[in-house]
Amino acid sequence: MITVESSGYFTTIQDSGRAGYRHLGVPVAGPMDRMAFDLAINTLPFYDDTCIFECTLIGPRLHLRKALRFVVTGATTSVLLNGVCVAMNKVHTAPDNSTLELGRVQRGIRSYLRFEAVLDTPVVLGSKSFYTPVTPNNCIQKGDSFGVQLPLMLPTKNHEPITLDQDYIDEGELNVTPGPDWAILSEGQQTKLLEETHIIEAQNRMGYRLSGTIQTDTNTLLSQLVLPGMVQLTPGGKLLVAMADCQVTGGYLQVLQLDSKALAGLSQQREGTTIVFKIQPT
Amino acid sequence: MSKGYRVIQISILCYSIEFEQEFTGSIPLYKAALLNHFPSVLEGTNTFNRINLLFDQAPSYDAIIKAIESIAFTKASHPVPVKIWEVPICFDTSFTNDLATVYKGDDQKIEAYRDHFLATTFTLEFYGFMPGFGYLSGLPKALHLPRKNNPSATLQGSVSVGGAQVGVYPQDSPGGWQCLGNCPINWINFIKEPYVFIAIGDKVRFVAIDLNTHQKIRSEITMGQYQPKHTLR
Repeated sequence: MITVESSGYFTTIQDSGRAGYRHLGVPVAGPMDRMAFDLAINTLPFYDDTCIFECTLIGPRLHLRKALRFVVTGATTSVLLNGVCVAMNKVHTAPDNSTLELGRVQRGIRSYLRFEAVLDTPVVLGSKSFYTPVTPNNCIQKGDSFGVQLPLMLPTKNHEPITLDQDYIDEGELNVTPGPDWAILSEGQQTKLLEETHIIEAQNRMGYRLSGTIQTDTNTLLSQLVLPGMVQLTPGGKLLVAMADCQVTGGYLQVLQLDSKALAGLSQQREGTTIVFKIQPT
Repeated sequence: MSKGYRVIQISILCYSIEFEQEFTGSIPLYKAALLNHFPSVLEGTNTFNRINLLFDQAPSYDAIIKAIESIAFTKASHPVPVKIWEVPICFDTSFTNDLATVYKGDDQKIEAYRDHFLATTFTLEFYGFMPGFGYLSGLPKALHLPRKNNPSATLQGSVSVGGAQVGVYPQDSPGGWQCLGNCPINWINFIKEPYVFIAIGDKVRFVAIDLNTHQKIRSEITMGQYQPKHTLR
């Protein structure tokens, strides 16, 4: 049993996501930073379940009734196991009746806490990823408790040694390719979009809103498919980058597409940070 | 776009095929043919005028073009049988009625709008925006309404018009569309298949109900006794 003593700022449970239900209008969800998620999964490869706690800004304090192995990846944060600081990106064993606490982030904003256990939280449409109204809750609350099932099948061989690349976490230059509506912009607008720096004005699991100065008068587009990583230009000139919980369709101009590393990197950047786009030849 | 379609690479793992208007009516048919042709597609979705294919290992652009050209894109020669759903709508004054604002309280114009709306047969094109939000086409030009300048709180069940599009809000949400009335039916459930009862390509007609019937349907839904009504065409 894992009991939430303190929820942290905004902590959700994510697995690899709810793929296959876009045709019902259901977002994919899953981790915001797939690189940190994959690192945690590869560090603690446990075949029955890919559930992970995604912790934002301030991590949770959890009570673990039984011994569990765990790893923390992603945004740099203090990890206190029974009051003792332990290293990130390494597997630790918490003994029976442990308290595990993640502090405030220092580099990046989203940390990933993985236990080697099946977390007892409902599977809805093939996934345990939190997303209301598909799942009952959008984040964990103080007093929640999660039953855990220990591994039925442990990996038969050890994982590959980990090459740790953390530089993407504060990379201000985001690699992009042209989006489906790129050609609608004039050459001048395209140049401006790539030369300007953009400030992150607001962000959540649905999207990142960035500053911008390009005015367009195309606001009568038909709604089209939206993918995580798509950079959309609103009639008011703001840029909306679609993230893990993005709506599956939208009617804004789709000007750029982040690559998967840039998408992971952006999800670690906080409000007030500036970024630039660097276009890659297709 | 002389061939009636164009292929757009959305990302390295996603292609969209956009059709000219005369072919959009057959999109469900083409989508089925394409999914059959590409067993490696993870997800196939569509919008009003595009089919979207998402892969975990994508073929090249040229391979996509070649495959599409091997499928004959013609208008369906005989209509595919579809269901016509009777979807209740309640115009009771307890629900938001944006027509009152649009027509400045002119009851005759509001009445005429509702009559025309109830006489219209819509087509469910796709689900998007939020889980279970179906985009309906077929709204006559005279009934098109401008979107609101600023989104306002929109209640679950709101039957709404945004430009030429019609949709029913499955949850409370900020929304910029004009609300006509309220639909008591849940358009989606997350518990058991089929998760939605109105399939892509099905027809929808709205049927006016009073507040008592609205409440009765709500309680039948809670008891698990309500079955949406349809006829075949």
